[in-house]
Amino acid sequence: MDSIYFANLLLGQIQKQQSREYQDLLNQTHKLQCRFEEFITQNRLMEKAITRQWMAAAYRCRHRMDVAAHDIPWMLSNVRQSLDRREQKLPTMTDILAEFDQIAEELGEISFDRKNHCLSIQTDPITLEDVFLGDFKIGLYVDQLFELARRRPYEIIALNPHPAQTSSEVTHPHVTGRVLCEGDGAAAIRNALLQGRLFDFFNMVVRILNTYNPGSAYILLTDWEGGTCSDCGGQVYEVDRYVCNQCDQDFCENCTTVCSICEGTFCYACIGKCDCCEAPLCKYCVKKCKQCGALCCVHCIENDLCTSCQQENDHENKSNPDPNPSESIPTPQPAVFPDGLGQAAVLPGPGQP
Amino acid sequence: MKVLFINNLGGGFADFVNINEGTTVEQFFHDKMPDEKAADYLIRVNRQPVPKDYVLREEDRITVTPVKIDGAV
Repeated sequence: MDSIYFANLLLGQIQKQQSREYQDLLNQTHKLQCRFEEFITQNRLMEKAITRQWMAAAYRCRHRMDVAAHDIPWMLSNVRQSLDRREQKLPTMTDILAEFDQIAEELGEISFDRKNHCLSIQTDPITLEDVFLGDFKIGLYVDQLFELARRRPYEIIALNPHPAQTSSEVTHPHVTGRVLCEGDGAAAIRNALLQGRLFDFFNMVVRILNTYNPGSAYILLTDWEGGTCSDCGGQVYEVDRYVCNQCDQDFCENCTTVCSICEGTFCYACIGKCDCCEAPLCKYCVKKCKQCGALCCVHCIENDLCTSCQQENDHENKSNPDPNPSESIPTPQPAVFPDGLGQAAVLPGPGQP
Repeated sequence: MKVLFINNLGGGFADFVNINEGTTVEQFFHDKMPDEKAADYLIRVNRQPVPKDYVLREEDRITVTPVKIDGAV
């Protein structure tokens, strides 16, 4: 009884989908007709305008004809594309029941979930390139079939998930968040569903799940159990994986450090240190001394001067006290040395006069 | 005579095609997919596996599905 219930449901959905395609074709032909009528109308108006020597009006009509003449071939090509689409023969109840039988015979037991309108099968446990991924349930929501153009009416559920270490959402190299990326099978899967070829649909999904395409995988199977540290090359598992905030690469704990200001994680290649206190410092938190150009942390910079420049200025102020303190400006000034101070006489070298 | 050919490679279209009387399923496959190896495909006639020398008949339904289909991201 379940099989007949689902076969009816499926037939209804396929019919709805076909009606939608016919409706789309009608809409396209209606738009084309409107545009063509606009072209004819403007042509007639232009003729009238020319007879009465209304040249400005004639120019406007000509411009509108030009726009319509550009649109018409494009609209016509859309209609032609829709007409060229091969008409799908509506399957019969017998066809659908034969599909169920073939699924049961070749792919295993089929489950009918009336509450969720879901048809599902379970795959055998899948191992790709020696990586065990477990078995999967392929669930097709029959009541969503007519929305095929907008969303995928099926999902892939890992029954005993062995997800990638780096993402629990990726349960298969080509599945993330229960969504299968169909790749080369996309068009064939869509057509199978549109024609009610359920065996072909389930079979192709199973084939994709049993195929590994390293050129286009969410996570490579070589990185399934965790990646490698970009610095020391050691194995990195999800629990001890650190991502550098700057270069976005994976590292182990030993190959990263934390910025003393923002506490972000960085690899040693992407982090520097404070020129004053030598604390680890990322490029986002660094401050530059205006006087000597030293790169310091926020704790070692005051009034845009590093600790050493501040000390130097303080020392200078003490040794040259301002005679009029009320007029003194508190802002730090670059050190200006009097002429000759600190200069040594350059003696001629040997052989020089 | 006419047979229904469902090719699940690429577009996955189903079409009636004309073939000569006495065409075997092996000849049919090589004719329709000359660059492909039969071993890489699951071939069914009227939903059943058949030997390669099976002679096709009017209204037969031939389905060809790749054994491996590349997914993507």
